[in-house]
Amino acid sequence: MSDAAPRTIVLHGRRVVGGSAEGEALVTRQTISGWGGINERDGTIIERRHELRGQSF
Amino acid sequence: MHATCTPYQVGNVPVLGEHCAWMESSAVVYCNSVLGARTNTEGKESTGAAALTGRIPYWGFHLDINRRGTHLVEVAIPVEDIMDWGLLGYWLGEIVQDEIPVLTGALIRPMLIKLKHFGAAASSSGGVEMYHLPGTTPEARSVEEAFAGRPIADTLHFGPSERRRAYENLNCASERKIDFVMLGCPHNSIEQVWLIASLVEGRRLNPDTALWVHTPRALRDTAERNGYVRMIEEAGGVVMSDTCPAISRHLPKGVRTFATDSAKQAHYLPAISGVQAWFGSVRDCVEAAITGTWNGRLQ
Repeated sequence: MSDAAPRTIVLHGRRVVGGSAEGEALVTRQTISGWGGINERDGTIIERRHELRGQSF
Repeated sequence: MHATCTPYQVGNVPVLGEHCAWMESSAVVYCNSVLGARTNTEGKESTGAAALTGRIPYWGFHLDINRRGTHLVEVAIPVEDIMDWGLLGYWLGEIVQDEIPVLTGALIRPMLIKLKHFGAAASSSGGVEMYHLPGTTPEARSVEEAFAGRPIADTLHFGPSERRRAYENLNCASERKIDFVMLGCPHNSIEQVWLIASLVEGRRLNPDTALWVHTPRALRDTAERNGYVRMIEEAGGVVMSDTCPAISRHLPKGVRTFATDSAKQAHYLPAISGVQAWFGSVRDCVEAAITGTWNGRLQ
């Protein structure tokens, strides 16, 4: 995404907690395994062959 | 109460069409595919709530319409032993993710332990919660019945190069010195414990290599009565119940490289624990425990 102009993606969902937030999106086309694919202490993706391995969300 | 990833081995065996609330991914795929009972992959909270209320929301795999096949898989090379069922599952899960594959071709009619490994592998590399083996699994007497009118999204082919790719993706280790051998993911059946016992009988494990054999508590009791636990312990191994290294996050001290017959464990342990994995047959793994060296390869 870094070489392209920023574009807006609107995600629709069901609100659980009110408020607003903004930030940089961490984008991947690959799935991330919720169990065994994430270090739950620091939010790092740990799947060995994942394109975002080592990055934290 | 059981604490096993394979409740269907020790008395929790739902019947065709029964609604369930299971969480463990390898058990979910076995429940839907092999037993024909119905479950989504639940979480800790929803399984707890289902246990208290006896109810679970009616959606996903509880509905007929969501149990139809999506992908046709043509298997061109004979798939017979446990290792090959693991490789097929590991290759397939990564491609279909959470879709429903329908497998045809050179599949030698599997039994429980092979389907246990196949489903575990496919639900590790992907999120497969259901598959059909026409002629074997209960909701597909034929390919037509497996798809039940749903258009085939894609046709996949499993041959020698796909098998090799799965093997190479699983084997991430560079060092051949083995510190630890783990057998029993999903938990071993009694036949598997017997096989391990017979392979180590009268031999001694390498003193620097730990061997852990995992099985449900009820099957460990059976293995003990049959003398299998003693055979494994006399060789220097340990037979454990109700856990595994991926769940307990516990390994023998100082492990850098381990060997396993489980595609699931070879997939997760390097990510969770930072160890290097060798994947192979039970015989490859037992030889590694005895010699302390990995000599397995793709035959």
